[in-house]
Amino acid sequence: MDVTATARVRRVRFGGGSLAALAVGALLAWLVGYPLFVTALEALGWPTPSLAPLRDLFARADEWQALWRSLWISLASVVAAAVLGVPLGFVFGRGDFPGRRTLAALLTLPVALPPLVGVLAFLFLWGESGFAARGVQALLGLEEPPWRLAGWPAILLVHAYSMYVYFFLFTRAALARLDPSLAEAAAALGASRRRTLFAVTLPALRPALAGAALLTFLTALASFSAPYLFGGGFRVMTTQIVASRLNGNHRLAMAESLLLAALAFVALAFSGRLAGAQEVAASGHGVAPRARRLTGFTGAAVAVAGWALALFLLLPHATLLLLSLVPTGTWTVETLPPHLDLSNYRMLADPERWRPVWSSFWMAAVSTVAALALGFLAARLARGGGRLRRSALESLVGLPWAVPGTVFAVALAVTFSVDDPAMLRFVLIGTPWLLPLAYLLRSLPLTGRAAVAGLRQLDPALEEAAASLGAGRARTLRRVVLPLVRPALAAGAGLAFVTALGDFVTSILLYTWDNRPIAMEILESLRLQETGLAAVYGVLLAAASTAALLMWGEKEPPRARPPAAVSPRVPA
Amino acid sequence: MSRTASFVAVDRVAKRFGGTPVLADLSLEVVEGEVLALLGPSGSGKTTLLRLLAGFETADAGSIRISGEDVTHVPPARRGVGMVFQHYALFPHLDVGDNVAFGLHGRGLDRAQTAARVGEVLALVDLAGYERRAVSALSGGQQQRVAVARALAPAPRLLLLDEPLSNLDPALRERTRRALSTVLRRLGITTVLVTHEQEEAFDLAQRVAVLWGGALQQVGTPEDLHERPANRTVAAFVGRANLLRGPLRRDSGGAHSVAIAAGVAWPGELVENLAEGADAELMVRPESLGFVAAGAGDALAGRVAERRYGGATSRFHVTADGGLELEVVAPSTAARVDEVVAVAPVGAGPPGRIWAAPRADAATGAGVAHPEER
Repeated sequence: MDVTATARVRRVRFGGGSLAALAVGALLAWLVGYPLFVTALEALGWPTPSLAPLRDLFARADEWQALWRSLWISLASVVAAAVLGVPLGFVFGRGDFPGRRTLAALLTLPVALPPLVGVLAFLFLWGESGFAARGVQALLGLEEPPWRLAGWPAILLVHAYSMYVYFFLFTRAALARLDPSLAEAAAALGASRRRTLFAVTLPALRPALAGAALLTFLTALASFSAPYLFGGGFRVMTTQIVASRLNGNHRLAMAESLLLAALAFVALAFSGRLAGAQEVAASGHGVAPRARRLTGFTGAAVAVAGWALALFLLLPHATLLLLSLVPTGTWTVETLPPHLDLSNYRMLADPERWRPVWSSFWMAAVSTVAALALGFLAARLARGGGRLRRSALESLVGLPWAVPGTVFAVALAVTFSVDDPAMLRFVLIGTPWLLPLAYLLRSLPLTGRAAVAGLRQLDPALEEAAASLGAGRARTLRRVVLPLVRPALAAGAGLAFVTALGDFVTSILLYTWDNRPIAMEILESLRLQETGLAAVYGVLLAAASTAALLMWGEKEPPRARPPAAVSPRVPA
Repeated sequence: MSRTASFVAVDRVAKRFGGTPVLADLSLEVVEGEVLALLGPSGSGKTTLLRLLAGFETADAGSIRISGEDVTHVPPARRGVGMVFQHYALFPHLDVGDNVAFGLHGRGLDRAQTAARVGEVLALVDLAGYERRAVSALSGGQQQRVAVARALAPAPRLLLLDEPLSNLDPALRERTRRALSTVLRRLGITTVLVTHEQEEAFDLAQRVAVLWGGALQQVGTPEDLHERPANRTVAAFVGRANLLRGPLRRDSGGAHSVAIAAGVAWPGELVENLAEGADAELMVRPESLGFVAAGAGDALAGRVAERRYGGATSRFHVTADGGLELEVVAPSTAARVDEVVAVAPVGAGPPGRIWAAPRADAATGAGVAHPEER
């Protein structure tokens, strides 16, 4: 049979799509870059620009103080998170003991706790009227609570608790990728274990550690929930911006945003230098890194310590759950709440209580789907083009990662408060669409990076194989590319969804009555002293986040047996 | 179907990557139904030529015709060309049957016809009944055969194989090569394969095209290449060659020889136009030389430096008195290491070839040349 003759005529253009790349690039530039640009111009007094606003800003002592505090609290957070996370990464990356896998999963739980909910749990666990303080007070018969959780120690504690996960995950992953023959070679050359660690292993981990440090620094710099609820008089840049904005001092908020964004970019530039040479990846053969089986006393000690740590890390979750069962007004001076029931959950019978839940879900879903589509499109177009196209698209997608959420919220509020279609500015403020747009921008780096990573792992020969078998672009995408990058996309989408669902930092500046999200409702409940209801919302949020991460979490993509080495594109 | 002289015609094709020329002005024809091997070291441009035929790259100049149709700018999906990739590129998320059926989509086949065709080609590669196996559950050799079946399923007019055996271990390679050879001969499908291994090219292909530095050096049967190499590049890359330098001699009967040492001139066919006395190079295969009695005419005296045992025959490395290095294939018992011997052409094996000696800056000069030394 002559099957070729019946082959449908289809045109596949390889390396094409320049026009599409331009269109997507322009859209991304408008969404991501333009608001920051407009904000920078207006902060400088556009249309009559001058440096006066910046001069005014720097003339104020409280601004300097906030800037300095943002900087040092972020650096301190990096140190604290590293001190916790790196040793844990080594223990879990190199050691093997009973319950290792389960424990490792539990250790990542703090990231699944939305910032505001985490802070809320900390408040009622470690705060001056929290379980721990009351327990110690009762135990020692003290008149006063033994400590107060406020100011910078409280912020640092929350940061260390939620951000050590970055160091833990990065260290563990880098150790897994590390070529074990490097350490073996060092040992064969007579290096002691200590020397091997400092001369071989740690230098090889440097890029991963630098990555974790940057992520922690930027997260801490952008952190808002902890300083907002614990800070009191301890103002950092994010709280300063929100205060200026909510007080109606828009120009000051813009100038402060500009300053914070500049600080983030300086960190970003500096981290590249910190990372040093390219990561040393496993090369060629060699045995997979062996986990050292810890036995006897050491094994038991590590296991016990590990489980104790896991329980300790789960205390905030437990606090939240317990708090959600305390009826309003029944817990006053007792060490433990005297009465537990489901009355707070019964409040959810009122459909009005579900409005914020519904708002958060639809906004998170819409923004995630849009971010997924845009991120994938950009990653795919970036892959088909030259170096310029790739770096332009990838940096536009990644830009919101470096910019603190507060800054983006201010920039969006500024840009989309004017009706000037000729300048591509529309009035979105006060509509329910500005907040999902903010979520979309914040999700873009998560979905975009996932798509880039997924596509990078895809052997280009697979797409060529599909083309040589007569498949057009659409069919290659549907039948080959998407099924293979789906795990990576799902992981990115899961993170994006969870981030949007629990968002507080952009919501507080951009929400309207119609789309007020769960985080705002939690804040409102706290204001009304309805801590039980706030905890119920927190439990809902934490449960939904954990479920989303479990459902879409990182999974190994399917692979052909000979590790599908990327076929050389260079002529051979 | 009529048998046309050139089923695939590559005409003066050029390709550059970022300014670096990879193929320059290359023309090549493939006869319908033949298996042609593109043989060359890495960087010779053979893979680029294959990718141009598949349509994954577009030529900067020149044209490519398949079965009379100009396909130079036709995308891969419409070329009707099947390809087996070096690492197979099997779709890991599809089972064997779905992989093979992938190219049958959109051809008006119903489910039963598709299944029948899949079964047919799987049987051809000796994998009948493997339809529902996962690709990852197959051995390397089985994956290779699935890749062949997948490429053959849509009945392509041209089959391309990119280093089809390089991913297999040596024991499996031999067996898979024979199976592949059987399939290609049974189908009579026009095939172009890329390899850097001479044995693979000779075993699978009827004709071999030797590529070097982006240029076609010679196209011919394995015998042509081995016995009548067009130049020293082909001689050194295909098989082993003694390259010996000296002035060209011409006797009264018109036969040529090269004076390789004082009083020693060995005969050969003159390949290019050279004047008598010109600086020439004689290529003589090790199997064309032998050990002769000392003092025989035109024998080169020397000492056996090394013997590489190979069963009935061995390779002898001989250092001649003048310092020349020679390789001789002879019965294993013909000489011992350190024995003083006399070497001369013995009439066995192909005759020598003579061409102009390379300029001093070009290459190694006299001695035993083989590709590893380049």
